[in-house]
Amino acid sequence: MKKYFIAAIVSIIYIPLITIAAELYAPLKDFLKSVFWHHWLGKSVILIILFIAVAFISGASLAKYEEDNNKDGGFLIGTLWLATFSALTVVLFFMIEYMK
Amino acid sequence: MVFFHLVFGELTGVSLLWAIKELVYIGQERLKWLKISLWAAFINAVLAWIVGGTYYLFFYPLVKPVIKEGPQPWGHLIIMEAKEHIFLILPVLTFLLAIFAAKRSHALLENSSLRKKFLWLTSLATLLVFSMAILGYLITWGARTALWLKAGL
Repeated sequence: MKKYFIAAIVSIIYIPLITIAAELYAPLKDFLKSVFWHHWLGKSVILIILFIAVAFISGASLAKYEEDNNKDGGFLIGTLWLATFSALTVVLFFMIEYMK
Repeated sequence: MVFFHLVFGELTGVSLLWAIKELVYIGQERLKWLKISLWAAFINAVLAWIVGGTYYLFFYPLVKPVIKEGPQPWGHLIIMEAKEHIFLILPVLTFLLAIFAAKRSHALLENSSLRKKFLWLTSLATLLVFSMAILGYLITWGARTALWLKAGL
């Protein structure tokens, strides 16, 4: 289960990072457009690839990992706070951009 | 297309509410329904992603300038920009919830502390889904008021 938590955490961190980076650094947005036709499509495709890749890599390196209720509980709460923080960061970023 | 995006989005929310009910009244016989409801939430989130994405890529470019030139340009500049990106969290969260329930359902049944934490994460996913619905309404409102103004209403 740990590999899915790590993949989810990396993916949830990736979302505000790519969003803000692409808005502030135009060449990144242009790159996403040139490769994927639309920047949002690019962000979506990269998200899927990132989740699968991180789950695969961490799954291979955590082969001996044993299920632990306390650790899984920690991951659940960590994911909860991270998802909340990511969503709020995105909203705040666009609010600040709008008010500029 | 917006209608189907909305339907799949609402079905995601309803499936998550169903999962919350199964978690609150958890029992051996309910584990099957907990898993089904969470996979239903994930599948509907993916369908909402595909249908909403298709709308966003092919039809929304016609609506975007209407909102931006209307009385509520923030309908696009804040709301849509935030919605299209925050939405991406949902397929990840719903998949995580579904796979966790599939692999660790007995731990959820036996360990109340773990179940409580799982319930919190499920509740957050539910809140995010219904926030998407509210944001979607605000975007539509932005377009509608712009069109009303144009028509002199």
